Amino acid sequence: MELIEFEEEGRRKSIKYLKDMNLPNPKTLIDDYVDNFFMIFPVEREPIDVIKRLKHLLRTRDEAVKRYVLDKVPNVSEIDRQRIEVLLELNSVLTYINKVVKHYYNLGVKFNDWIMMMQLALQINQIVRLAKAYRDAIDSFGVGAPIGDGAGALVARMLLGNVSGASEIAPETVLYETSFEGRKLYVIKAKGPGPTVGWPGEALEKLVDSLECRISRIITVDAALKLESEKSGEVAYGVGAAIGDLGPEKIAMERIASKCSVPLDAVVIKMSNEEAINTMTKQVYEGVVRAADIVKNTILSKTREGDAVVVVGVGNTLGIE
Amino acid sequence: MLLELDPLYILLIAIIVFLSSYLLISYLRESSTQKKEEKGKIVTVKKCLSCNYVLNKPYDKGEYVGRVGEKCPKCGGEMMVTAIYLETPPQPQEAIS
Repeated sequence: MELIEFEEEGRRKSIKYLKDMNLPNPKTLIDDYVDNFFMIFPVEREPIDVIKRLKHLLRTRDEAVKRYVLDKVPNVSEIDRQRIEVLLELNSVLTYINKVVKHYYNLGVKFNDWIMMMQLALQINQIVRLAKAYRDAIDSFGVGAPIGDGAGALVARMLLGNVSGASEIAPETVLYETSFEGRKLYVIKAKGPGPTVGWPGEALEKLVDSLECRISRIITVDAALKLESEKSGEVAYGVGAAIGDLGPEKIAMERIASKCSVPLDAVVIKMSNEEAINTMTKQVYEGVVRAADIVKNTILSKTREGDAVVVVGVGNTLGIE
Repeated sequence: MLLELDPLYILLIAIIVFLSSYLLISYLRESSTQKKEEKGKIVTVKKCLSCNYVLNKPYDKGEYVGRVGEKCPKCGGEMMVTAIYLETPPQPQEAIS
């Protein structure tokens, strides 16, 4: 029952936000989106070019959603279009969670399968918690303030200070050029302040290729899910590509770093699933400040003056330019 | 008057009073818990690009990190939004850390 309430409440709130954007027929816009626009994952039994195929499918879906919104609302701004897309996606997730739970419940009742019912009963608290987070996220995206997942993008922004003048290096992804303690600093992040994650892997690949591998270090920063015993805002660092995509962006980062033999560092800011998709809390923000300090220290201690360093701030850049 | 009532009626009234107060207390407790969950305010931090003066204020819709525009109340320089976050009261620690 609670899940049905969450779905209906999410729908009501989304309609309200879409009405505030002066959209005609927001209900139809959501109803026509939910259940559609699924993506069938590529065949993994044949691993050759699976990443290329996955990337193609992701781009195709992304473009289809964009086209759907633009067809329904032709004169919408880029930021509002991105906000509409996120609201549609959140409603879709809430409906899906509800449907899956009802599916297992109905199956359990139909075949008198008490094992299935018990599994559902034992997991329902976690499922409700997840659904609640998605319902609350509708408000967060409606408000427009940065969300927890934007931690990486905010670290990138902090390194820039008041630097402006970015160039769009990949779709919805921007590159800033600045300097830090005698080092040339390239900062990549999604194009804000709309709710988008951009294509940071592709952007990094293009940048390093254009610089013909003359890069001393690549530092990736992203939000990471914490374990229950960990505190929100804890910062950890290591090596590798800090990015939680389905594969194409992460592998692009790994490939270009290994092709050019450039060390690839990772800095993560820990938070719960709820915090990741809702307005950034103070604890997470404090973690962002610490992460920015770690990135600065890494640059100072592991590179020399005159070197070129790339920092990639991964995550949703809602409310962050 | 009370003494003239049947003891059964008195018992019935007592049960009704008990049940109503129980329901009222449960409702009040639930609504106060919900209020606690909702509590929290979004804060915008602005910093002057000239004199580094920092201003904390409640978040207004449309503000974003990196936005420049307002004048500094101290020196008249430009102020930039450097952070936006949600301030929540400390939550009780339930997990073993």
